[in-house]
Amino acid sequence: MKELNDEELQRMFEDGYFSSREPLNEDAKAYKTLFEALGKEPENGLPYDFAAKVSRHIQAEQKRGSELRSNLVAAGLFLAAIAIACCALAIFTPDTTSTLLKYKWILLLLPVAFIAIQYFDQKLVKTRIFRGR
Amino acid sequence: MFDEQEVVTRVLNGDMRAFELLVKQYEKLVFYVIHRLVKDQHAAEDICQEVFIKVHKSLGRFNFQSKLSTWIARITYLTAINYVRKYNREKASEYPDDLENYHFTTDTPEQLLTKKDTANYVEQLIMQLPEKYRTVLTLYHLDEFSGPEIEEITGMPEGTVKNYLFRARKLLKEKLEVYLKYEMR
Repeated sequence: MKELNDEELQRMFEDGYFSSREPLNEDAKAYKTLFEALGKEPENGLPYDFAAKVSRHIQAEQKRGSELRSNLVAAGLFLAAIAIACCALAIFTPDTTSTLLKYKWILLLLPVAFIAIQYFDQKLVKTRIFRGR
Repeated sequence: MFDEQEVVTRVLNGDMRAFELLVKQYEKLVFYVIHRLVKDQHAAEDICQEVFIKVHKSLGRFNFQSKLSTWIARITYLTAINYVRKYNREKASEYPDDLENYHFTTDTPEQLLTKKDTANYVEQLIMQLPEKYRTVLTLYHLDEFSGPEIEEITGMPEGTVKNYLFRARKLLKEKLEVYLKYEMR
């Protein structure tokens, strides 16, 4: 085999022009081994259910997003209903307004508690159930 | 056969089974790049997952101007590079500008002889190369991308890609020659 430099040898193995019948010099032998090793897949890899895991993760994220949106809508509707009820009471039965003002903190606390329960349900309970799967 | 246009359309319509098909089709490509760039193997699976989540989120922006594999490989490369930079796992200053002057740690004949086989030995040598060299070697030899495709994935000019490939292979060949000599004895 005629003496080839590194560039020519690399090109030869890249293009697959190498013939197994040709006697190889030291450089060519080393390049042949190297090219075989470079094309070898790593021993470790991803778990067989990797695709399903990614899919579950995305679906769980999408579900969390849509649940958060519906919770916010529910909280908004709840607040709007309370506001409408308060306005109606103030207009039609002005005497009850003072009673309502007495319990204003309880009334304000209710939607806050509702949102907090939903939030912790998402953050703590459902995440753990999902992890356990 | 994997029809990327059909699969992408199905994924965009919310078909998660089609997305699983897409993941199965490209999980090796993604893993090879992550495996070679991120030395922390425990993090590798999480980063692969992050790549496919990004693919799912931005698939709507894929316009079929390039191959889907090239587009996914670019996301993979950028995610891996971000991870490496963020956690500062390796500093550029660890490597000399001139790769020919680079010294591998597994240089003694005793250490060479304890290696399980040639492929493992080459793998260990590759893992000691700078990240850009590891990237081009992986994309070219394992993922079988062409020079222009590697340019699109990494943003390096094709000439630089070819130069990195040549220098990395020459250096590895020189180390391998020493290894093969000891193995023959």
